[in-house]
Amino acid sequence: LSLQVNRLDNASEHKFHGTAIDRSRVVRFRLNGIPIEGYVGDTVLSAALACGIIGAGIHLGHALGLDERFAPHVVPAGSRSDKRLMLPMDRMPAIDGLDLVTLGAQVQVGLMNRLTQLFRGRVSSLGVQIDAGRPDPWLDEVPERTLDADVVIVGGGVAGMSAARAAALSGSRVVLIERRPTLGGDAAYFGAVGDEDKPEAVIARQASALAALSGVTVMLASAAFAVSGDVVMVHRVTQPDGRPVGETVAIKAPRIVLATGSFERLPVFAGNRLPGVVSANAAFHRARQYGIWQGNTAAFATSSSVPYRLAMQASDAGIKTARLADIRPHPQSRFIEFSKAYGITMAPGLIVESAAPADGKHGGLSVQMAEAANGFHREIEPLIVEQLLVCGGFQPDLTLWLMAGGSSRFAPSTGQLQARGELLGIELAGAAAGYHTTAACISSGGAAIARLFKRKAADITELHIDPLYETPDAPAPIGELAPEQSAPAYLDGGGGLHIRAAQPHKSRLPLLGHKAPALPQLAAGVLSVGEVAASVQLGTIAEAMAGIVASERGVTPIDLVAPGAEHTRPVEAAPHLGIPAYLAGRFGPQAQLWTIHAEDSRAFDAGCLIYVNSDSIDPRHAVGVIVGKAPTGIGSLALIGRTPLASGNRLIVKDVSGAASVHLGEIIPPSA
Amino acid sequence: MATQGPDIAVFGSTPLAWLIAGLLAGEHGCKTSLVWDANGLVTQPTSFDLSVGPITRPETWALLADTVPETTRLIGKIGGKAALRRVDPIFMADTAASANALSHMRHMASAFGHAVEKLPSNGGGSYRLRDTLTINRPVLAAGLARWFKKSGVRVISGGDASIRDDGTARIVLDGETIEAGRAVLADDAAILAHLGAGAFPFVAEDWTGVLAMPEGGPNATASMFIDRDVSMIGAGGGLQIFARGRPNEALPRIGASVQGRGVVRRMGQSAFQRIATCDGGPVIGGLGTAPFAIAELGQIATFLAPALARAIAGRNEGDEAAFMAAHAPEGNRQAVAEYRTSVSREVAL
Repeated sequence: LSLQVNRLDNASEHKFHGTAIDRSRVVRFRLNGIPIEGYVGDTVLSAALACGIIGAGIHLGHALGLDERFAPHVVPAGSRSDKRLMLPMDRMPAIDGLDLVTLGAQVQVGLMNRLTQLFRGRVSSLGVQIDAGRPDPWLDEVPERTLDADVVIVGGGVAGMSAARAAALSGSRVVLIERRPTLGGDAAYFGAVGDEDKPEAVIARQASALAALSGVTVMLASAAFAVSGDVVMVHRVTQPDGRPVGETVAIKAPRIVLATGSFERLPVFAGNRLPGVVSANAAFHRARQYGIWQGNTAAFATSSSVPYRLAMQASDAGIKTARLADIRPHPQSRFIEFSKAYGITMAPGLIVESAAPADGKHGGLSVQMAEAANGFHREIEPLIVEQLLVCGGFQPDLTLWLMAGGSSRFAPSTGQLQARGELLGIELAGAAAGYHTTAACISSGGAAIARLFKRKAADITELHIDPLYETPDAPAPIGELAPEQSAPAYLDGGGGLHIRAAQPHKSRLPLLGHKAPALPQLAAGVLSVGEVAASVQLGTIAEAMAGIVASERGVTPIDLVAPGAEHTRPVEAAPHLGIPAYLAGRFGPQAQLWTIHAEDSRAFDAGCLIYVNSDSIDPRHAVGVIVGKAPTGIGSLALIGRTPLASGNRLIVKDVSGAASVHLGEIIPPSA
Repeated sequence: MATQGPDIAVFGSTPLAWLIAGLLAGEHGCKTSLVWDANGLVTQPTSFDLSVGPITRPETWALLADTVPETTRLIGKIGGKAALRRVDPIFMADTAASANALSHMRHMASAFGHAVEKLPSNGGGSYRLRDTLTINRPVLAAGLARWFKKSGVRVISGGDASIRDDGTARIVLDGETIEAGRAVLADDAAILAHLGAGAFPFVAEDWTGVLAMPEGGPNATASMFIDRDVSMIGAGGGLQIFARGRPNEALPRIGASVQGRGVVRRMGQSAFQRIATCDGGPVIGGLGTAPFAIAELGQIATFLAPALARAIAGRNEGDEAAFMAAHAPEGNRQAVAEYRTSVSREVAL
């Protein structure tokens, strides 16, 4: 009996057979002691998902889903301390015979049993006790290699590939970095617009063209995690001797293209990251690349037309869509018309209020939706499904752009943070730059290279379809506040794990006409771009401040000590006799440098004050100060303003041990 | 429709601006408005407050001796005891020149009654001052509304403000035009916004702010690395760190300055500008009819607020009046210079 309960069949006609896997070659390995079965081409994550492991563990007492934006790192059992072997599940290939464990503490047995029961009696969770703010293990590592290139391109979608080709054709040495194991990005998910070629065909052509060019190094399964100046930091998963290992590489290039695409926003409702709640985009890639789909019944909740296409493709694969809820009251799209023909139950003007594990032995999710148009709000009968696919529109992935010093601003109409301004030597391209269609994204890649080389960039034509026929995406849906015992409502996917506050923030400064600090200065920690955008929608960050907050909080949580290793001791200026600026004018215009000698031959520290007599204690009445050792090596050097003075005159010096009588030696002329 | 507004418009979003505005209205009877960016409360701070500094001039220590108790009482009244926190800051020098300057600070602080401890150091100099004060800004901010209302401060957030060459100000807010007879620029952001970086004697400097979380847990200590132009303080469960320079220049010095604390993770980062003076000395006042500006006082500025408010109201007397006159932009600038690594230099007698 196959363990791969979530693997779609490949007998019937549909698009989800799995382009990345070879079903004739089975691999078996263990993950936290759980037997996992997959195919060659699977990642550890896709194989685990195929085997019904859909939960990462427990966070804040509730189950947390396992997905492409949040999965615990794994390491071979017995090598827990080797950071090179700590790898992300979505970039680590599934290899026969591996015995892997996840990083992080395991959930207590009682909770684990509860989780298991919730999901049909099977082990369905990795059982990790999730802590917020868990940094990637490689962030603190010194790069093992440094590469030089003329152009680095981050993102192997259609825009990144276009940029790589344009740069290589002009003779540049190019490094193209892609997080996924394959090139192509999200173009296939979005589909063609108008008369555009099918994205799959475009991607294949681009990949072939790149392969034929010399001077292009493609790094797959490689995540760029920081950009600083002209250096891009990359974590790669390689297999030098058949065993997957991690490698941190610093790539130095005077020109950088960030074609980082966009990510799907997470609608904010209680239970939005329970196992079984999946981003529609992630579900598409799982299905297309790995032939994975969880269960046979699904519901969709969207603010965009893109998931309608996925619902139809899923229907081809035998998946029943119980309801496709769209927050937009009157959405129009060619996809919607096609969906009608498919007989998909569509529900415009609906919003998800909450999701919770369904009661009963069959498990699944109970999804509470509500009509929410024009201020009207009415809950409808809950829906029981095996998977809830969500899409809260799309947010350009500006993480690296902001980290490099770029700016952004919030666009209320779309609920997006959009890039603004310019950075020297860095260009955005594709969806990260705000383009939508495949053709525009491709053009923007070439245009980015042209701008970096100070050449005239070709015009980029974005195909705009009249809103009458293609309703624009709505901002990510925000559900009503749920009761406290509900599962958390997360602001975004990923590792930030920031949740919606239980109570709306009350102004502490009502008279100032402004909300109090909604973000405790440090407790808020790192915020992703999606979390900032959600916070703006929730009113906890002012629209005008969103760009600044995103820039300030969107950092990589590196150990600060690592870059400090480069710091050298400040250069010591050559010593010479003179008066420091901070003593200028302190003792009047006639102040002179004198050598002084204590009766008991003690030496004085710089800064010891000199008085006429031992009764004086107010530093403002001091007549001089010790400035250092005497150049002769005997006694101290003092700046003294009182006149007339003569050699042998007696004064009082006060140091930490008390007052001491001194006599003047000789005048020392200051050096130039 | 233009309306005759307050006598004084205080521009600024830091505790110094808050206190000056409230004192001008409440203590000195000035019709006062505070023009601030309330959004600044959700962004990273660009400085922190401390009741001592690496100061070598006795006049400044003497003024602090007068104003710190006064400021402490005031802050306690506004935000309660929690608005202030005791801290033992450490001042560190890597070079002999800076160690010398700190040695001057040490003896000056001792002479004014502070407990100063010399710490072991590796070649430079290191001193800890005991029992000094820092301000918990969010707690202080929480008490401002009540205090401003009681003092009669009009708070203006947003709007379009402009300052004329004669030092008067106009603020247009929601269709109302407010005229102020005198503008006070009480923090660096206000000076940058309204005078610009090039207005004599000001210069703009790039700075980096980092919020960091030590994995070993928070540490309440304040540390000032004189030669590295790095300062940090434990706040909000982590560290607020500030360093001169853009992030790529500042991060290595910050890294060197948190060594020995275990893993210290960057959780937030900002780049901003501070105002310095071309001669390294603090500025209090305006050139001619220019707006009254306060700059280069460093972390102690807020603890001088009562004296600064008196200066704006024209009510300084004695040593305090002499201090303010000496620090005016047209004063003998050389006689008020403090130690700064970037401008430290020897001067001829």
